[in-house]
Amino acid sequence: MHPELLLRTILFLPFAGFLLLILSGKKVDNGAGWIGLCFSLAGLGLTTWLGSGPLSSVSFVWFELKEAFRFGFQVDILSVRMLLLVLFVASLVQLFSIEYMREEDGRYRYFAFLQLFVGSMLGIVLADNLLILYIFWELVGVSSYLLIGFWYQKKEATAAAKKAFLVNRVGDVGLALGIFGVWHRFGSLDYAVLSAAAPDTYLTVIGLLLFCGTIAKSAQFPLHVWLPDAMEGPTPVSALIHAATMVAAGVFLLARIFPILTPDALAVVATIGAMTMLMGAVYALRQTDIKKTLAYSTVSQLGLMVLAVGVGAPQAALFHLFTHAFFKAGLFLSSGSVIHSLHHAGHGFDAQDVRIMGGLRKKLPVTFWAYTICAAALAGLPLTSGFLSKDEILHEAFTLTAHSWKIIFPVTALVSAGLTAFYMTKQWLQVFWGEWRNPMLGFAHVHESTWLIKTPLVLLAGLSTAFVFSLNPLGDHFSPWVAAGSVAVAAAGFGLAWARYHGGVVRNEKELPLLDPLYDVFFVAPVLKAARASAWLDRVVIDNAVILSAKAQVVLAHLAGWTDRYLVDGIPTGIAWLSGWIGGMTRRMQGRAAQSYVIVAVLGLAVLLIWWTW
Amino acid sequence: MLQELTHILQSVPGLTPELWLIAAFAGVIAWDLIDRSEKGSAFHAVTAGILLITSWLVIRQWKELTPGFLFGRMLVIDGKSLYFKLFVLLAGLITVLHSWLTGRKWSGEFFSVLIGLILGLLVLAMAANLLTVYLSLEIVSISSYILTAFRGDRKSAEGGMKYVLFGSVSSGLMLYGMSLLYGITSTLDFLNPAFTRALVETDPLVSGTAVLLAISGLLFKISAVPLHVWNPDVYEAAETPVASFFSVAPKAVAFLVLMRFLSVSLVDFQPVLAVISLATITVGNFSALWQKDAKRLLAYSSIAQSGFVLVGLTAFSELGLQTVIFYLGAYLFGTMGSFYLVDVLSPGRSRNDFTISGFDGLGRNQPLAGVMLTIALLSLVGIPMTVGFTAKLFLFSSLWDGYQLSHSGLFLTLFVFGLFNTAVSLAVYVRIPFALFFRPERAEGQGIRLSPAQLLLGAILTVPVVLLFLRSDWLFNWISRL
Repeated sequence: MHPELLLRTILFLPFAGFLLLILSGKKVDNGAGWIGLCFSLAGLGLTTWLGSGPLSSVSFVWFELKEAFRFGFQVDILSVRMLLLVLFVASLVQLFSIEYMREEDGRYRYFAFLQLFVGSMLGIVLADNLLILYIFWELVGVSSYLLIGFWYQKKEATAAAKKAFLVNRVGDVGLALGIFGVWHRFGSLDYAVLSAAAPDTYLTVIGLLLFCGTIAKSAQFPLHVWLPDAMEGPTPVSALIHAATMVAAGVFLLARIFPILTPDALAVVATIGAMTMLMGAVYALRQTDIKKTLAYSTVSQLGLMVLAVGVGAPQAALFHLFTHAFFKAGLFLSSGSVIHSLHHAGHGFDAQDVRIMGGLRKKLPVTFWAYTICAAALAGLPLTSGFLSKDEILHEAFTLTAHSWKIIFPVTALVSAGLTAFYMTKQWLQVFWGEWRNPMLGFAHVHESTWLIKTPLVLLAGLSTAFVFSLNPLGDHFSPWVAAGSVAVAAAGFGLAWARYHGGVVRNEKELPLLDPLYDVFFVAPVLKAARASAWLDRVVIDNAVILSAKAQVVLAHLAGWTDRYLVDGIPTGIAWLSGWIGGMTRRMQGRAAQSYVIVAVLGLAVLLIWWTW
Repeated sequence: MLQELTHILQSVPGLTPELWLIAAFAGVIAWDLIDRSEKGSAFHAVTAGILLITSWLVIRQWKELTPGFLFGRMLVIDGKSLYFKLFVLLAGLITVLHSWLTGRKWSGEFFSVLIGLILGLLVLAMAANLLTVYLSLEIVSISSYILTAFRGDRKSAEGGMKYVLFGSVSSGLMLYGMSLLYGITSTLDFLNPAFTRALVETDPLVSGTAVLLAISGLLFKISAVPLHVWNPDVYEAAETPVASFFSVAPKAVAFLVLMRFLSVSLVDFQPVLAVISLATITVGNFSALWQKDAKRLLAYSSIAQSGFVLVGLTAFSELGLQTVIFYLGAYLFGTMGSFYLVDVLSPGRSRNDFTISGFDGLGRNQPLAGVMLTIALLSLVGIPMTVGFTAKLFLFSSLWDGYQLSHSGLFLTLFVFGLFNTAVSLAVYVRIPFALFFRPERAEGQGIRLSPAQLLLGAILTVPVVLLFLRSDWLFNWISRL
């Protein structure tokens, strides 16, 4: 098949799936997951085919308006890898969801939105300029909003969806301004023209504005607040969107715009990344919700990727993006498996609270092993994929920042690696080791779910080992000092956690204060105040003006009424009579027929147009 | 400034027939309002007189006026616009006579609205600017809505309402297309070379969309697929003379504007026209096959005939455009003749009921009228000895020439399917003559007697059908000089 046609088909498939599912409605609830899975698997197959052909030459113009807006898509090695990643994880997540969402109403919506998300994500990956990226960027935001709020009966879910959407808007404003700036500076939005030939303050500002998009989408400080709340959505969604793919789009964007990031901009990027990384890790220490720990861990890992770009190692960042996608999706799906099993065993307790779990390795062996491998990868233990990518970042970072103040960044990364090992060990111990601590549920009732759940776990755990990415399990850029350091730090984190929590002990720990109250004070409250002030203005000033003008109008109306009575009374009476007459005539007219005429005509024109201009 | 004023003043004589019609429009309303007495058929006579005077004014323009633009390129006067003005006036005159001879009684508004409709068509025939196209097309549409609903019964009001709804949608589409065109070219003056140039430089997707939307209002008027659905309902709802006028005059002028517009837009519109034409012919013919009502049958037939005219537009050569004009001339006599004779022969005329079975055996009762109706219908099929044959012959030969030039498969498809459809259409039209001559007579048809005046109008309409076949060069030479 022609590569261009292939590309169009890959991009078109998920949107077709979305339309098919959303239009079919409730009656396809039972088969919705399988339909969605077929679409994603077909996309995956086609992408493999595409990746086996020549890559650099495949690009096409969507359409052109006086050469100003070239809407195109491109394929290079990065986008093919991203395509495979998105479609692969999406397929597993859909397989998982078939079982996980089995008892939900409106599954057709769920799977349709997943398709919409996949389509939008593919658009981001394939875009060859910033405008296209922006369009799909927004679409991704919409589908994320729809999926977080899937359980719209739950107040927390709708609030979280709203929060995610609004916070992302803040970043999008920056991104849009940055795109305007790129247009102004380069006269084009294609990635190809982006270059920092002459770094100056203006370019720094543009770079930072574009970075705002990353801050919001990849949950960087200070806009990270939406991601933990987004865990209100279904767990498979968290795995796909809020761990593996969408949140990584910010890092992907950074890699694409890397050429125009000036040294100053990169310093800011690295600082934000470091802060996010450290903060996410610290928050993760004290979480009691199985998914929230993972959410903060995602924040922290995204911070690490951003930091990697900030110190000048985008390749390492993208490598970590890939490995992270697999092991974090694996972790989320494992937690989903735990939640699902507990839900099925009984009700009336919080199935996500690790304080009332324990000893589950005996009942959920597959989940346990998958979780263990993925957690080891997250902690960066040797022989896992996480070790490879984290070490590459550290290695590059130390090399690039040696002899400058920036050495603080890799050092921070080491510290947070220790914290990561600590909180993952803690959660691992509390969930799978020790005694069963939930008095409301008999331990005997808990059992592993079906193959639909187990298959994705096994595959993702397999992909979290080092052998998938490199034949040498220690990595190609192996540098003994860095590796030794990071392993030592991880071992220290593990040891401390073991000492404190072994046997799955639960300690009474206070939760850390969140940033949200600060936002309430500094942003929400002023906005509300401004709203109240404008309400007051409206009530006192504008209302009175309206009343005054109303009085004036009454006076005028009397004048007009006089004119009306004596001069033009005939016309309205006549019109009233006429409309009454027409109404009587057409009362039983087949309105439907007239409507269908119009639909036939407009659809006919549309078909003609498409055929003609194709 | 002064120069512009002078230009405007100089343009006024070009508008004499239209100014006269505006005065007549107001005069008819005023007369009806002031003199409330029963006027019988006086309105018919007066309107016929008005139209005759207008025709005389147009003929005078032909002899005296030099072709050119009026009112700063808003309107254009040339041979084609004058020919189509005469065409419209002739159709109007036939409509008035038709209504008069079938003894229809109308209030004065009917005639003033009819005059308004004709006024709109005359302006549309001269329109050289998207603005004037839109405005005059709206005059035509609004007057048509009123005329459709004029019978005043439920069916007619329903038809009128459907017409309004559908008409406003297509008018909206058209306006949207025009605003896109304005956005692309920053001018509304579509005969200006700058318009063409800007259009050619634009991406074909954009310019194609704009052009197709902009002509959708015209496609609506000529009832081309997919904007044809209103046609049968409206014709069925309207009184027969009105339907007869609708099927000829607005269509012809819309074709003129379409020709003007497409000749400058230079977009590669032939494929899309070919498809529209093919679809229109097929839909019209095959739907007509199943009709039980003669007026609905003629409505679908007029859709199919529009499709045939589009064949000539698709060929789009000098010869193609001339054959289009010729075809429209032939079509005027065939269609208006059929409508008129169906109307006078039908026993259910007063009930607006034109079931084909109502015509059973009438041909043996009224042989002259029956033969004339058969001739008119055969002309619509395109059987030799009628002008319809000549017109179709010209049409398909110009299409064949086009095919020889371009070797486009689309042209060949259109050619083959067009001929095939011509054959099918015989089955459509022959149903009425069959009923007229080969069916046993019915009781309700016994009382039908045509007056000599009615027969005379029938003859006036059908004699040219044969005459123009024998001497087609009369009309064709005239057209080729336009």
